[in-house]
Amino acid sequence: MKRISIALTTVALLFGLAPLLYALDGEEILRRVDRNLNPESYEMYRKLINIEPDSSRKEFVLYTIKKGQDRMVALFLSPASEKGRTTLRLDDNMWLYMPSVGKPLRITSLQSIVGGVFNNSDILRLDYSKEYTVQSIEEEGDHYLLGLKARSGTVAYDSLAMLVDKKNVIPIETRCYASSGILIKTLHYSEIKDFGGGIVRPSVLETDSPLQKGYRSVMLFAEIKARKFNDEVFTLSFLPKVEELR
Amino acid sequence: MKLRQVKLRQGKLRQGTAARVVAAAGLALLLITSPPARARGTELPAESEEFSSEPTEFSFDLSEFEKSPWSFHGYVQGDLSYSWLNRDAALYRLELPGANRDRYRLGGGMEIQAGLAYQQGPFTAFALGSTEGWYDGEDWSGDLLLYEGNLSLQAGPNVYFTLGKTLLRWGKGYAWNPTNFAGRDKNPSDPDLSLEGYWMGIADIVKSFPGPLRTLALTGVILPVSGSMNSAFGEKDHVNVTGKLYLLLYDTDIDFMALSGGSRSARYGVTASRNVTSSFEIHGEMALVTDSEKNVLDPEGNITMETEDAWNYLAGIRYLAPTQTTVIAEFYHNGQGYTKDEVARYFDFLSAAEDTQFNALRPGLSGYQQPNFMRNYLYLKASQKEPFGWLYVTPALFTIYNLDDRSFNLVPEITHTGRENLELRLRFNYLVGGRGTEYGEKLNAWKTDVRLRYFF
Repeated sequence: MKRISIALTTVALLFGLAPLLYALDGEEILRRVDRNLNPESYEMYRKLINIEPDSSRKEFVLYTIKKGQDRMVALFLSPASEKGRTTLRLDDNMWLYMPSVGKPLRITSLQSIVGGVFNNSDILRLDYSKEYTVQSIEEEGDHYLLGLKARSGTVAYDSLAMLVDKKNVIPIETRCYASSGILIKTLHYSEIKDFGGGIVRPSVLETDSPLQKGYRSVMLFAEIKARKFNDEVFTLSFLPKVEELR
Repeated sequence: MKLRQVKLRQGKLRQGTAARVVAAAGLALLLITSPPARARGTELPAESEEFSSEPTEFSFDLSEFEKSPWSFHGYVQGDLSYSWLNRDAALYRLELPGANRDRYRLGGGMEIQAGLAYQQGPFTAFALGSTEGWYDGEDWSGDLLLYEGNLSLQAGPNVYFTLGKTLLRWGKGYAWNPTNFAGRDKNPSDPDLSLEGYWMGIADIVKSFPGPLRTLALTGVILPVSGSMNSAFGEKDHVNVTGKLYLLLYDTDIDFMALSGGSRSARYGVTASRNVTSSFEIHGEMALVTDSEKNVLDPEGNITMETEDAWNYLAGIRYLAPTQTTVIAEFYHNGQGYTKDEVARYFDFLSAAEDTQFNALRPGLSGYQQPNFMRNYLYLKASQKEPFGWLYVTPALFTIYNLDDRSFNLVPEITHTGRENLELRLRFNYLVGGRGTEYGEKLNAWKTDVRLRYFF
């Protein structure tokens, strides 16, 4: 009788928990979030808007390309004072090429090449699943709450709390924390839009930070298209030539 | 290459209150370029729900950014400076020969710099030039300069060729680049200034890989020197060959470079840089210059040429503190530089020599007149993004410290970018050093300048 009870309990647990375990595979959810936000290799146009406490604004327009999980380039198209500046990210390595300087300089992820609340890691964001591992997952009504932990110390934020819409599997809000537990900033995704090619995702990303009270920054996405690139496009030698890809 | 140079003699501008004029101009420009202060100092609520998306609030019309084969950009700049001259300095006599005993100098100028590019298929033509006019306290001058003018070809996915006037900037250092074998030396007090290139042919081959070696790039350069081409590079009637091998290996940038003998002696270099953490970068350069030649003034007032192999090297860091303070620190050893005794002898000579004797030796003493011509230097710069809530304002403080004679300059500056495409910079350069030291013998005791730049 005891054996039968154990067997029944085991079967019940297996059959009962298996779908739950499958449904709550955090790593898989995170990978789907990545793919729903953008194809693995793509080109994209974005506008970054920094809004200051006095309501004044600064706007930047970027042409961005990405290949695979760890290669990304962003070229400034506007304003004139920034035009031609190009940033490259390869894994955790980042460089900034300024035409006036004439050579790439290494930059770090916590710096910001545009000022405002977005830092370099926000502007040159790789796939979440490349930089973070899922440590916890909770269901909250129509959302999953993912607890993400940085895979290495060179990632800008030590941990993330990402609220994911269950239906579309896209993030609604992401809170970014330092290793000390301090909230660095919050990212808010909104305005879901069909970009074509099967890409349906938020077209607006806003951020604010308790460390920069009164400031906020907004990223508008205008065009995202899957596109393949040669590996050599993502090298320092190519940075002055990125405009030729448009 | 200088295409045209004009000098117009003008009556000397004497301004008893010139310093106040420069300061007032700077403050006036600061006010003009400041955005409306409607709600400055007030804080919007930081709670995220206060920032809910309002789609009508923002717009993005992509048609404004359609690609054209033509690209045109540049800036218009005006600047005004006021200098308090050091009449006891050796360089006062050098740069203001004769009986001129001015105490002040008011200068200024205008510059238009523009770049034009045209792309057709794999070909890109590019030109960058400037025209400027300035007043240096004595004369009005003008200049028209072609910084770069070249044609490049993308011959394959990873092969590029460039032919024409091109500026190469090799090296990782912010203030100095001892491995910049085929470029011009930058001004460590203004390292981002445009520099003139040399006429050359360049071939680049780049290859990416998976694994620890992510990128390998090989650059080959041919740089001919004749009486009418690249004459500033060195001895004429040579075809110089230089090259660089770049590796991104284990997340570290590594360069190896070499220059064959010719117009300059053969030299070899290596550089490296790496991000240690998300806010900390380290870099370094080292160069061996074989048979480096240096004119040295001996105790009898004769110039002798010394030839020896010289090691030049640099080590530096860049750090972003949690307070948004960026710190750059670099140590530079200039193995081709002069020792403290050699420099003291030079300044003694300048003080005692008759004008005729000095003028006769002056061409041979040009090595003493280069920026940072001694052996060991420290560069320190700290800049703070928008302190005290001052929007678009970045104050900075930097110093170039001569470790041999303990003289230095101290430069506070403030940059304001409140209006789109408009940049205002106010700078004060204070020089500290005793007699016989590098900064103690410079023309200026201090200098303040204001620069307004509009980008288009």
